[in-house]
Amino acid sequence: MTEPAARPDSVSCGPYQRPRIIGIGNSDRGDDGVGIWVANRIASADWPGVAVVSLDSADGTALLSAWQGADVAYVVDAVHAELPAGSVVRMVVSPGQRIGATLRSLSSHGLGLQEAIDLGGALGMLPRRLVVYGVVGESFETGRGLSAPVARSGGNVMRRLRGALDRSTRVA
Amino acid sequence: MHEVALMRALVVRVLELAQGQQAVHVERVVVRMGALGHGRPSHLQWHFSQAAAATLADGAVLDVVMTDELVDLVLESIDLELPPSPVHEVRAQQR
Repeated sequence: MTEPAARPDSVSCGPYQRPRIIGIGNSDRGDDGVGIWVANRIASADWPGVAVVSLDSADGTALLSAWQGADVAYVVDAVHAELPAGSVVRMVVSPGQRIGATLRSLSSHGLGLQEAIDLGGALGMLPRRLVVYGVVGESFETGRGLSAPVARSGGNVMRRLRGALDRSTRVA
Repeated sequence: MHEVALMRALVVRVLELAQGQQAVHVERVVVRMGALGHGRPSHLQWHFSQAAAATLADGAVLDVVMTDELVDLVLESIDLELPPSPVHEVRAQQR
């Protein structure tokens, strides 16, 4: 397995061959920070056997570096969707696949999650298995923290990630 | 009977939302039950599982969060599994 040419500064732990949990968003824009919140919580808890990457206010191109070389990667991001705030949508992503007509990443940067998936697919830089957890946000004001339903949902995403990792370990 | 009607109405709403996202399965539903709510969470969960049987929400977990709010039952959030190949994309490719 090829090691990435450039590792993001925010890699928190673990060798790159381990399953990777990547939180993306902007922790200064309310619910847009839920991916960062989840990644930081997992890094603080020092989950064994995983590498955690926190991409706070990073461009989507950073995702390519973050998941490069990984066999399995889980991305947590805030999304827009016609669902109650705090709802979670999970999707297994393949190259060339859209992440949903009614499901839009909240990236405020030039290259978002969908574009990173497209680019990664075109360049052959996608993990073998890429799973996206999108948390539906409701408040994206600068300087605000997570809304109550999204904060509760962050804990739910952590439990689901823990379960997914446990299942993959048993399969392995 | 109130709980039965309530859970049937909840499942109808959850399925509307899930189908709007082209979901293949509902994993979890979170509701808040307030001071005006009736019944025990375990009863609601049982009636929910009955109402959800043979639908996209079959097997979904119902979490009931107790609150002091002056509400009966409020849908807080749902967790969905989206398809690996969304229907709208398949249709687009078939044109």
